[in-house]
Amino acid sequence: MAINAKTWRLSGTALLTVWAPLAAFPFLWMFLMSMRSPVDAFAFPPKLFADITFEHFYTVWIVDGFWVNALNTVVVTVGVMAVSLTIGCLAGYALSRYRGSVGFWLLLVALIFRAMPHVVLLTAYKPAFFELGIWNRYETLIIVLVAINQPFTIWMLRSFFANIPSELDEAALVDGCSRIKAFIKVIMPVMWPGVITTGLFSFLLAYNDFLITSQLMDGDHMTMTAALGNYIYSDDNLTKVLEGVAGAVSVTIPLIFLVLFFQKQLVGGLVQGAVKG
Amino acid sequence: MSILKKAVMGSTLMLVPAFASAACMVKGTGEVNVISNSFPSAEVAANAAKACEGNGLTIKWKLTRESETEIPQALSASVTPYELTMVTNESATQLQAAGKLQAMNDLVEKYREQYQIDDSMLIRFGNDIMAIAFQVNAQNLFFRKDLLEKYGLETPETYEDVLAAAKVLKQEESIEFPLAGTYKSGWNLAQEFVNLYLAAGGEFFKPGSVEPTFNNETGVKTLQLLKELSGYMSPNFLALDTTAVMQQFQQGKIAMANLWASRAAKMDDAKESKVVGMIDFAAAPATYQGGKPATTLWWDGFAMPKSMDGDRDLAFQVMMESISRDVVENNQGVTTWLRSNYKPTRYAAGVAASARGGAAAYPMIPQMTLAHSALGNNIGDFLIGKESAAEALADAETAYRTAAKEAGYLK
Amino acid sequence: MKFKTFALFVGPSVLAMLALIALPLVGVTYISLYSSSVKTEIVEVKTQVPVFAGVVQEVVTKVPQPVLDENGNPVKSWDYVGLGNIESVLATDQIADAIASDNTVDESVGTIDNLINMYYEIVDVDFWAALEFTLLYTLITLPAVLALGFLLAMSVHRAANKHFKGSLIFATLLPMIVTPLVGSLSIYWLFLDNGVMSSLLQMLGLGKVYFLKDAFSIRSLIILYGIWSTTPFAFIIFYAGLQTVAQDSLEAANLDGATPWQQTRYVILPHLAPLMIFVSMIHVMDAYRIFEPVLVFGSNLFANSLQYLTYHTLYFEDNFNKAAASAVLTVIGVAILLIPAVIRNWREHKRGH
Repeated sequence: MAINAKTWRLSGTALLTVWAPLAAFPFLWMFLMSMRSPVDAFAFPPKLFADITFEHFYTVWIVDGFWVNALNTVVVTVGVMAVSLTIGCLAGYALSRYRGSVGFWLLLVALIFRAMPHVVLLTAYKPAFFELGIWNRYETLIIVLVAINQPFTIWMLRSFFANIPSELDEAALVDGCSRIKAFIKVIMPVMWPGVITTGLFSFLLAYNDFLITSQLMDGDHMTMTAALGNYIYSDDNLTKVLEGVAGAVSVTIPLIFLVLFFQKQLVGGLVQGAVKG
Repeated sequence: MSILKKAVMGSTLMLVPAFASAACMVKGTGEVNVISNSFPSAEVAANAAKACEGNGLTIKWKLTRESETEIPQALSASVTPYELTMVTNESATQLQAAGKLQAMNDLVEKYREQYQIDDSMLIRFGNDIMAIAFQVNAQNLFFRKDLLEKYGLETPETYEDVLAAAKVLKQEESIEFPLAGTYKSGWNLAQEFVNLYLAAGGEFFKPGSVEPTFNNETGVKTLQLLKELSGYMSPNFLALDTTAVMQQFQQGKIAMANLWASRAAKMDDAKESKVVGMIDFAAAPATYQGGKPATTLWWDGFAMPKSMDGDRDLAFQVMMESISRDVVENNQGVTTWLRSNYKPTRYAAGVAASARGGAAAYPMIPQMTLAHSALGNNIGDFLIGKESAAEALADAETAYRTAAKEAGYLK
Repeated sequence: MKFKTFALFVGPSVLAMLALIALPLVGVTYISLYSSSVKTEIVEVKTQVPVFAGVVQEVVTKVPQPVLDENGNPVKSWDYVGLGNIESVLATDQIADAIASDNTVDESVGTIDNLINMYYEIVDVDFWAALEFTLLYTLITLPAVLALGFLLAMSVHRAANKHFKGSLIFATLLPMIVTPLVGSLSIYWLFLDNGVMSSLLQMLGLGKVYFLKDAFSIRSLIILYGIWSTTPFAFIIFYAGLQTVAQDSLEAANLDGATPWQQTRYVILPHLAPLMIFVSMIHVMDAYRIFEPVLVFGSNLFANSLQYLTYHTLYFEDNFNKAAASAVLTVIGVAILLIPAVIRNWREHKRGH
């Protein structure tokens, strides 16, 4: 039996040693490509070592104005997080405290909305927003992404609020606080871990969205992710392809830092969703 | 934010050598908004127009890489923000058929002398001048002249020659495949079909109607030729677009391909290419001995949206300024210009030879796009052996009929 | 909490969802019932086209041209077609024809062959091909993700070194968190003609492999991407679940002389079962929406998905009405997929009361 357990552990380690590089390799190669001239990046056979150049990054960020897209990303992600968390916390809190069956039905409908492929909604947005003349505006994009993100947000926040004992707000109510006051003064201060975690996921949705952003916004107003579409669709020369790779790397780097700093919250958030989901 | 972007755009455009005419002739004040593709010649044009700014004239020029979708979108708004838009033969035909462009006859007459507008730049639908073209592009034969010489092969003139040369070049060890083609399933593959089918004398529609006729014997033969050629290509051929074929060429892995002339200059760019100076350009091969080069000529130009509310006259002057004789004179190597003072470089030799050989212009028929996309989505099934040539063409015909009905062309 | 307070609190969120999710669904259904086009008539038009400096071609043909109203604007039509768009997406006519002809012609071959032929005819239509691959993708990735996620979670759980654990979780989180478009591209670039992977296999003496050559290889790559990018989620959930396995039941099993396999089978797996169901539910929802890898790898020829099909109709064909029809069909699919999840939640809700 001792041997058996040892074999188990060994095979586990073996699996991990294979998996970890595999999970990371595509990123490593992408990083390498972005720093090479086309003749090296696409060399047959592929080279492990080659001259390093940052000109693709220069072209993408300075010449093509990717920094504008980066600023757009900041505007859109901050906007989405702020609005989404504000209305999501209100709803999540109420859902965790209300005992009637309307709450259940609301969550169930949200679950169905959560499963809706985004292109379905886009099909309606596009003609409607054109008709109303409100496409290509940050407000429009932010509110759309907030709405799409609400189902997930209220599910997650509800389970965080449910973990806060309701004796806490009831005590405040007895002391004469109004609901909203109890919510702001008593509940929110202990809710920060949940808000941060949910905020991270709201951020990811807005940051990673390609489909909706690329369709509702045009060049100057796109986020970085949507702007990458310019490079995949452009049937241009190899240098342009590598600029696309540099763009992709630029989009990935903030995410790597995000994982480094918020690993615990991300994992915690997923677990919270799973345990209560 | 967009002001900042414009500022940066202005400074980067300076990187491209463009020499605006010493004296800009635009008279008038106001703002002109332009949307265009972002290829090098478009940057040159933008730069030339920008040189006219000042004295109450503002020019906002948007270079976009998603022009195929962004331009139709911008033009479907009830009032479009742009006074000028770049068009290709395909998009101009579509936009004209949807009633989204306006005629410019009066302006052409007014400024013909001043800007020395060549007749050959005018795109007419009936009597209406709907667009002004400034450059052409076409696929033509790119080949490794060193390898052809090594095996004593002549420059292929027909696809029979191409196949014969490919057979010989198979033994060459430095290359992986003798041929490549832009056969990426979808638009690219259909473009190859259009090239070969038209050169073989095929017709896409019954004359005077929108009834499709491409499901025929010539269509089947065209498909068979495509398949035969693909036998000398990388097995990934249905995933290879122009850029991928370019890469194979530049890495010295292939010997011949029918590629867009606009890509020629990059073959001699040492940063991208290992075969600098080894590639030569000729007319597109014909489908049969004595036939016309199997390629279609495309043009790029400018048009005015019908739904604009700016100053037509001013916009027209800005357009002509951006593609003036001086601009062509000072940027000869940038593209295959249409103006009469253009002196073709070695990279344009293939287009020139194809055009002189009588290659067809890509059909400017509104429903052609529908046929093109129906073919692109269906003929791949034959090349991978899933269907017979006749079945694939029949499927394409069905798809075309459905699309043409939905577009209101067919009842 | 009183209902009125509840309503006030959930109001903004519900409003956002109603206006931008529920209302669009109604809108899409409405659009799908109509067809729109610019009215055209066949007119003889002479087009003049430049082909090279100084050379001009003239073509005279009869082509459709827009019918203009008195202000010179094109006349647009907006017609009710009922289920016409949906039938066109489903290609009901084409399939009916195919089935009819197969039944009459091929008496010589067996029923099975006829059925296979019929199946090929059906998946020759874009919508059915998209449905086929979407389902295939979901069905293949689901067990793979569950199994790999579980094995990884077990291995990390047992691994002793803390640092090793940390960097492992980090490497694992990346594929999940990265922008799906970037993730798909990063995989695609590895498998190009003569790319890293094909060169690597060649160096290992496995011969030259062309990864983009047919439906099988391209579909495999998309599925590989799916496993790569969604296994981390399953892993994290299972890993967290493993932390809560009651130690005394494991020890009891140990005392009884249970092998590691038996412990896993009778203690750990039952403990993780609810999480397995949870992960499966989320995975099915997300797999049904697969889009980015199809955009990057696929073409209509080799792999298509329902979400990509609608996108293609909207973006490349610029046909709102038909896109709406395929969107409506997609939603019907969602409804069917969610039946088990809804039933499960309903049961729990009832138990709770």
